[in-house]
Amino acid sequence: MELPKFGLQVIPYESGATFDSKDGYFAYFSDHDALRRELMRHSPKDADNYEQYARSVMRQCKFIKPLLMRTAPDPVRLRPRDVSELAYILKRFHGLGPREMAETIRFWTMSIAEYLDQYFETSIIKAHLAGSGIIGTGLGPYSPGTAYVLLHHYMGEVDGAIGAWGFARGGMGSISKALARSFEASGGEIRTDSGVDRFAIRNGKVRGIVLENGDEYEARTVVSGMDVRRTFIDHTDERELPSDFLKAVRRYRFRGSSGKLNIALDGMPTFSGAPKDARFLKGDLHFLDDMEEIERAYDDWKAGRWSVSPYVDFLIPTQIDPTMAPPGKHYATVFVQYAPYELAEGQWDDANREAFAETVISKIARHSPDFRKLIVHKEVRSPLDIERETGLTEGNIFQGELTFDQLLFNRPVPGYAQYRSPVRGLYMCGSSTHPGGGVMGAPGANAAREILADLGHKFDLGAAA
Amino acid sequence: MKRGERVIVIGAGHNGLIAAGLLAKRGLKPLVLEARGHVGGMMGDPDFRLSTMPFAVWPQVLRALGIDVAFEPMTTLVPTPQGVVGISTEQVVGAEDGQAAAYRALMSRLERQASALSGLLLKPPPNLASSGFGDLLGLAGTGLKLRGLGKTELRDLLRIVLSNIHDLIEDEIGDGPLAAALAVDATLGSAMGPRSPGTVLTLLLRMARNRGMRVMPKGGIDILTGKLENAVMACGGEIRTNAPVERILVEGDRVTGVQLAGGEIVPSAAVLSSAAPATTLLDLLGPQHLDAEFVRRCRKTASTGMVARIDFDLKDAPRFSGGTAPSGKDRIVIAESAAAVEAAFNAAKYGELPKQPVMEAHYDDRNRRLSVSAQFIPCSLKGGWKEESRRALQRLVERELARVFPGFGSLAAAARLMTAQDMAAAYRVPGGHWHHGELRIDQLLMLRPFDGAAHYAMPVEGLYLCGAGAHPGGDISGAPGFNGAQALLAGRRR
Amino acid sequence: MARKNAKAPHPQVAVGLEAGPFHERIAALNSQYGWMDWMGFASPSVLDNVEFEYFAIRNQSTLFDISPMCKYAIEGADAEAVVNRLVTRDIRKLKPGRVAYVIWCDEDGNVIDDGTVFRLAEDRFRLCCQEPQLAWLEDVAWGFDATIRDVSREMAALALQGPTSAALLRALAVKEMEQLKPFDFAAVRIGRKVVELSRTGFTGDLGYELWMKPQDAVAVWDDLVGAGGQQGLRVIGYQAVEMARIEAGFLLPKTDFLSSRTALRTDRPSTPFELGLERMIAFDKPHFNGRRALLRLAGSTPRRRLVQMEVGKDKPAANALVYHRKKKEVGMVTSALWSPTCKQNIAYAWLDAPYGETESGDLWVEIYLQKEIRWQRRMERCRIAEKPFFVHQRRSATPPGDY
Repeated sequence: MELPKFGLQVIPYESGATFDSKDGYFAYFSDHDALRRELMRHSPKDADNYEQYARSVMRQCKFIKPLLMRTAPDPVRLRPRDVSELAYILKRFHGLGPREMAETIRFWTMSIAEYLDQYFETSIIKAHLAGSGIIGTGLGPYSPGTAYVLLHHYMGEVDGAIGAWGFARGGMGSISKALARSFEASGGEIRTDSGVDRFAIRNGKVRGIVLENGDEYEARTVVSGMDVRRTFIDHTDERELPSDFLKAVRRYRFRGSSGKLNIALDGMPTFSGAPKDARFLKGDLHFLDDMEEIERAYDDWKAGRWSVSPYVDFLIPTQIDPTMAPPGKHYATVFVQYAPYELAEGQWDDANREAFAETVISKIARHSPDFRKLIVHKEVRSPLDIERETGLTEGNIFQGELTFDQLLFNRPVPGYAQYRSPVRGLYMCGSSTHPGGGVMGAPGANAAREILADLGHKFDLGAAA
Repeated sequence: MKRGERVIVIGAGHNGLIAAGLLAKRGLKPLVLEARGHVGGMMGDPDFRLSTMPFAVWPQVLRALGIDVAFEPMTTLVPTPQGVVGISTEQVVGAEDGQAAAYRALMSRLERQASALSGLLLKPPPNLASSGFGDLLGLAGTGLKLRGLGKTELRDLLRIVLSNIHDLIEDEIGDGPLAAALAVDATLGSAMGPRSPGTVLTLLLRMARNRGMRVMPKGGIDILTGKLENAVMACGGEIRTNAPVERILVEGDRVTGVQLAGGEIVPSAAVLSSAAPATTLLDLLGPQHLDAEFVRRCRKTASTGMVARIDFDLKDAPRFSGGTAPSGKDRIVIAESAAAVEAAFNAAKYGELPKQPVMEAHYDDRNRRLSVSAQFIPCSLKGGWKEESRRALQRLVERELARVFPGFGSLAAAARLMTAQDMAAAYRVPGGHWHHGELRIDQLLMLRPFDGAAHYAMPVEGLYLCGAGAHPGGDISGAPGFNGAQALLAGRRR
Repeated sequence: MARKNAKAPHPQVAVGLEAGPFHERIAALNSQYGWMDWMGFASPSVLDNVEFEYFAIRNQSTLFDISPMCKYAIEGADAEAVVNRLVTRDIRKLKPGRVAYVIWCDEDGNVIDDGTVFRLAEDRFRLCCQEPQLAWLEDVAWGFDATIRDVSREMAALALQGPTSAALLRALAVKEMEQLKPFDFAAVRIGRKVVELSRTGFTGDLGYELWMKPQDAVAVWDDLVGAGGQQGLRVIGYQAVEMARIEAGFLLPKTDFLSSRTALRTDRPSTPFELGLERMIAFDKPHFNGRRALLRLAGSTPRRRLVQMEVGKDKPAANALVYHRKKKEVGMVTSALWSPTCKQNIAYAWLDAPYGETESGDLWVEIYLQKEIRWQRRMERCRIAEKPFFVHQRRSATPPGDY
């Protein structure tokens, strides 16, 4: 989509770190030699095994990547396209060879904790890496199936480097802006502040949409980027939908598990565990001793509380992108796992929001003595706030859980995993469709291909990318 | 192998006996070497009766051995503060009507789905190696068989098969005593809570036999053990107890026999081991005969036992608060809800004792004996198992029993405790795991016990696995023993 | 809220290249400012002129810093059993004071790496290789009474190679050198420092390697350089070493073959049969890693084979594809060189079966030449060579001559 032409600039990820409670730290560097030295500092064996771990993750990414940019086959209907797609997957799978096939099955079903235990002996290294298995999910690091979630965080690609992460200059919002500009340049039109009230449906076919302000638009093809629940429960007349579909949509799980703090800072905070001029402070920071701490944080969430000692993903992006704050000032984004959408006791009111923020801030302040007094302003977002603000149901960042019952041909619901809905002309293209969130743009591109096919056009993803 | 040739079978547990029985029937001379003083393994331990593991030996296995045992279905009792909920083949009593109906509908759906899967179990797992593509297609063939379920139930199975029992309960029946029984069935013996993905599959595997109902051999467990023993002896097999194997002997990459703890050498051209895979391969055979990757995978197999066994000799029958006493045909599940099962698992994840363990119990009214399996009691307790922690566990169990059976404290005359760690030592099972390794999707089928060791024949010629660590795994199914013996008879090599 | 800091935070690890034990001395000579990354250490690529450096290997003597190599101590009652389980050769035959070139394989019979094993005593070994192997060695030693230690940073090492290298040592009065046969090693004194001297190398010629404590490194260096004037001693960089390596017939991991532990694509690793190293497998010893897979492989034709080739004319066939009858693509070149000593255009290449097995005639390489910003394509005939291109009799003469 020629995003650079429309203003997208990516700053590559350089490093990050996890601090433990004894002011020790593990720093992650994208520079291979530096990372190896840092791993050696903790355990020479882990440094060696890291290469094996990285290769294994890379192999899984390589295996699955092409599958994500394709529509999942329907293993029950088995039309010719489903059979050939299943055969394609089976052939790719078989092409891995027996050892890698076994490894792939294990990878898809194991817990991130056990997966990391296979390779590493150092608690803080495992704790640092485990975050990618649970961020945004309603699972703990000991839950089977979390190793796979890792891929959703490693799948990113910057200029062909698999697993590369980058920061968008000007914040992640600049990606949406570039996408919008590119779309408009191709003749598209965007209306903001135009909330949809409902989809107009007649005789099982979509006829257009009705906006909240009463405006109506006619269209034979409508694509919803909203999640499956919003699209069909909130904005579609349920009499137009088959009952088993409705039941399946109602069952679809979101389970928001993360909160967010945005903090304006009067200056750059210091960290008692960080050496002088630590360059890793520019990256994502975590405060953890071991994976057990994350699992315990998950236990709190299961019981309907926010974590007493949450998993925190802390970043001060103003260090690498000064366009985001006035000179000398900084801005911290804090991603917090776990926070429930619904509290077992009480509501997400101001008092609870404040208490939640205090839990997070005091955890950070244990590692950064001057952090608290540098806070100028803060915004606190519970999963409920995230839902209200962004439309992400229950505040789930992936538009629905990434568990096997909601992946591939099961996403969003069995039988409707190919972007079409029971209503003719009404399509889904949000992250609640295959392959889910975290894989930039894949659901949208896959949906576009299906729609174009229905409209009698061919669509070449390679050319579009 | 030629008729009349000696084959050593390590371990006289039910799988060892079944394997030996089959070999004897086919004219070989099996010699079963058992380390402990009794036959029957965990099932035959005179000090600890099985509370109620699923006693569902495959009928095909018993038929192959010419054994005739009658099994009686058991009634599951879930005591609640409002009274006892009873679940039997015919009905659900004591539960709220809507929930009971939803439960029965769910169970019959699961039964159909489980029986569609059952074709995978009583044969060797598919092979991913050289001839792999055909096997993959074979697996796809099982998929076609699954199509017999009908589209809706097949779709449903494909959705839930790797999912967790908690979500299924939430969707279909809601939490309560029936959910508790379901959650216990899905997690018993494993290191997984109801919220752990994969627990639906554990449940389906259990339901593949006897529709998931617990059964008891008519006349007690020892009847079954005795008949299995006889099947070996009747055809010329031999069983030696108190004969712990110390080493499996190898020459020129071939098994030549075993050496017993006393130094005695027993020659044989083949050895079938029903001991745990790690015990067989790393302790008895030794890593020097195996490749390092193979050893690594064996070492890294997940096998954390979570069950403690406690047997009480009682002065009188225990009685529920309503005044009734359980009979020998009842299986008692002590867990308030699926949420309580998850809560018990929480503590165990960190090596701690749960505040309220989940329990399964069986009362033998003839011998006035209450046998309890308490779950989740971690094998490696933080701080280690000491006299003090053992007493703490026993008090915990007694307190929970007293909640269900008022006045239980004054009933108990004697108690024996076996933690998972004790089981690890007594039966040489890593982690004291019932199933000789977690029954989890990444350790099932061609990945059981681990990649490269799934087809019974081990890399050293003449060595076979036939215990619960091999496909299709634990409980009292007899399938690993059956499959292992078949592999040897077919002369299957790696 | 902030707790008292018991100890200062650990300083951040270096980002970029590290300086090795000889760095100061090499940097002073590195007029080309050419450095390469070797296991995170700065290793010289060329010091002043690659041609002179190469000819110094063949006619005089040369010093090359090999400290970045990975080195592991394997010690204990079962050390011999562990090393024997690791490698394909029968290590029981290796006596203390001897070195062996070894390869080791994974369970599928694919080569993990090659290296040298030093037997220091009945129960002490040292393994030197290119790629980190600690985790692998620990896996191999699991269940045995042996300890594995990474001693890479506890030892500095120099390669002293070339026809006059013995004369140089003689000038330093290293008497033990006289009896050292190829693959022998002994503790010797250079100046006031004790170093371990092994008659090993990668040039196919007379040469030694010296192993010492890092703190002795500079003193040993100065003694060697101080005494080396008469023998034309020259400090050299990697590029010259690479030329000699190709001539002498040594394989280079990551260039000629991929370790099965690092290959991303599962079909990339290679077996000893494919590498032409089957003579290194001792099937008649107790079980070693990959034995069963290798036995199976021994009975079948390798999928492909790494061969040495003589190429027509004088343009090196770097990165070239190999064709049969100029038409069918049958392989590719991994290393190529115009050998200034053999006066021959040489290369290593992978050939898919049956080429290089039964079909070895009518092979061609496709060479691309750039002539003043224009590319030219040229088909050149090539022929499979059976022996290394350069092995001099000086290499094994004992006692070694002065030359």
